[in-house]
Amino acid sequence: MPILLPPMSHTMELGPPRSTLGTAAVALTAAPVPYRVDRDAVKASLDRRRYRHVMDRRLRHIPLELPYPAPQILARLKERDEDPTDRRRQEALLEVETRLTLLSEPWASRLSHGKAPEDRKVRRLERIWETVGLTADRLKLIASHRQARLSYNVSLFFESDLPGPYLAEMEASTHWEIAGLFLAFNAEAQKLFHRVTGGPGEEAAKHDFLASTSSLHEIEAAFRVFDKRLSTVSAATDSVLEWRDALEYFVDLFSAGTLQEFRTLRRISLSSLDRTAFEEMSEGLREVTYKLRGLLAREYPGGVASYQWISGEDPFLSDLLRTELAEA
Amino acid sequence: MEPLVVVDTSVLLAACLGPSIDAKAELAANAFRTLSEAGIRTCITETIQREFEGRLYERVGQVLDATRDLAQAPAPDSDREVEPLDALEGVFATLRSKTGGAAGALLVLETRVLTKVREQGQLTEDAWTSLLRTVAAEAGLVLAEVQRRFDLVGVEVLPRPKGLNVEPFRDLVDKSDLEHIASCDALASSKRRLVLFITLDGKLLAARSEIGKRTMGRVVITSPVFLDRALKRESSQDA
Repeated sequence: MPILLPPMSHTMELGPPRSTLGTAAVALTAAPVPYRVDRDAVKASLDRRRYRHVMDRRLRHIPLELPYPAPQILARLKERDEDPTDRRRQEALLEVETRLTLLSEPWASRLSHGKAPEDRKVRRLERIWETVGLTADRLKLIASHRQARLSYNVSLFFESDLPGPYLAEMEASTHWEIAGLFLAFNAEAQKLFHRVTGGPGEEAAKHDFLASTSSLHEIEAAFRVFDKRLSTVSAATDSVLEWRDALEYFVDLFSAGTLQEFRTLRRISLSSLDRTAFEEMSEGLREVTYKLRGLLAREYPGGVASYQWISGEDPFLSDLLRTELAEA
Repeated sequence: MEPLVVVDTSVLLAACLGPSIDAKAELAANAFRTLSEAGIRTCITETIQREFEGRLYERVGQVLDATRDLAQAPAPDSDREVEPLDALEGVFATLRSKTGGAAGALLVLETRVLTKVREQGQLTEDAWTSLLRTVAAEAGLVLAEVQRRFDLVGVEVLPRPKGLNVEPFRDLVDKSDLEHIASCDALASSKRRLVLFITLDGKLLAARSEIGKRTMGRVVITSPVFLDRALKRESSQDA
């Protein structure tokens, strides 16, 4: 089964999906886990961390005092998340993140102590292969979540009088966030496979990977580079997620007559929002998206060149550019 | 010293369009090729970068606004007495009368929706809503795609220079170009280099001589057609 990520399809789904942890954030989930680790405890810890992330990292971008006490907002988010609509996808993501967290724990590497060096190497390679595969699964689930969230925002926009550029920002930032994760993962996974197996990274197979003749030291170094470089891009995509979520929550929270209306699809009027804060946050989202694009263009120019959303001959694209050019 | 080459928003847009699509796009592609062959880095001012990005969000935003307006109209074949395409023509006429400043966006949307309606055949209310949601989603993909193409052009963004003064150009160029030309003048002054400003904008090209005078020859306005000659002229003067 190919481990690299395919280009994303652009499906439309309905429903107000739950929040998820940022991509880099899962690597920071090292809440103290005892040696005899309890899988459910890790899962619960990740779930708690997700809400803390929403409250501490995303809502902090809102430049106004929140209209409801933070604990009540948190309770409302949890209440909405019990809705079965998106529960299955969320559970799948939490499961993958739990396995990733367990794999990254120090105790996991200690399990291989006392074995012959070759056994240790194979075990380590197996763990790395599994980590890379789970990371790919996780990114696919995240992309699917982001697209569902975007679809929700399209529905919300149709019910509102919010300005068109608001949805344009939501859309572009979502596409770039997903592109960033996919491009970085594929590029770094290919480099890792090449460094470990010596063969072409595009055709990595588990059998070849486990049969690597590289030293354990070299394998560890290659994996550290993979992890570090993916984390750098994840930090940039997380920043996009934080600002976009902050803007979405701002629009939702500050237009809600009661907290019970928060996270429900309803008619939203721009007049209920503080325009200065709205514009400040829109600008913030544009800036972090622009920064992410700059990072991708610098680090993965080949990937950006091949990550095409719309074909060159598409009339929608050429009509828009021609119109713009005529008025430039 | 080689000139500092700055391209205008119009050239960037043409470059994003692709040379096989449009004559202006071909000109832009030739300009970038010439610069690349000469080993000259292409730049834009921060004001141009902001204008390019801002205009895109604004234009796609207008398309999205119009899509939402369209969603509030009945499905084109809801009235059995009227042909769906005739009904659409009427709806777009109404939208045009309401939204004066978004004529370009409406034209873009009209073409897209008409193509989809022709493909789809019969349109129930649900199918109509779904079609418009698809168009709204596609608009976001178009925006991301243009941004991707912009990023691939690979221009260097020059930070806003100090001592930017728009006053000498206020009566000469459009308000939207004022900061670009003033930025070029300030850059030429602070870096002590000639700035070659490449544009497809007819008004700026018409004012090239006067801009040259007011910048004491520090800023040269040229079109992609004459870029090659302008570069040769500057290198011969250097020699």
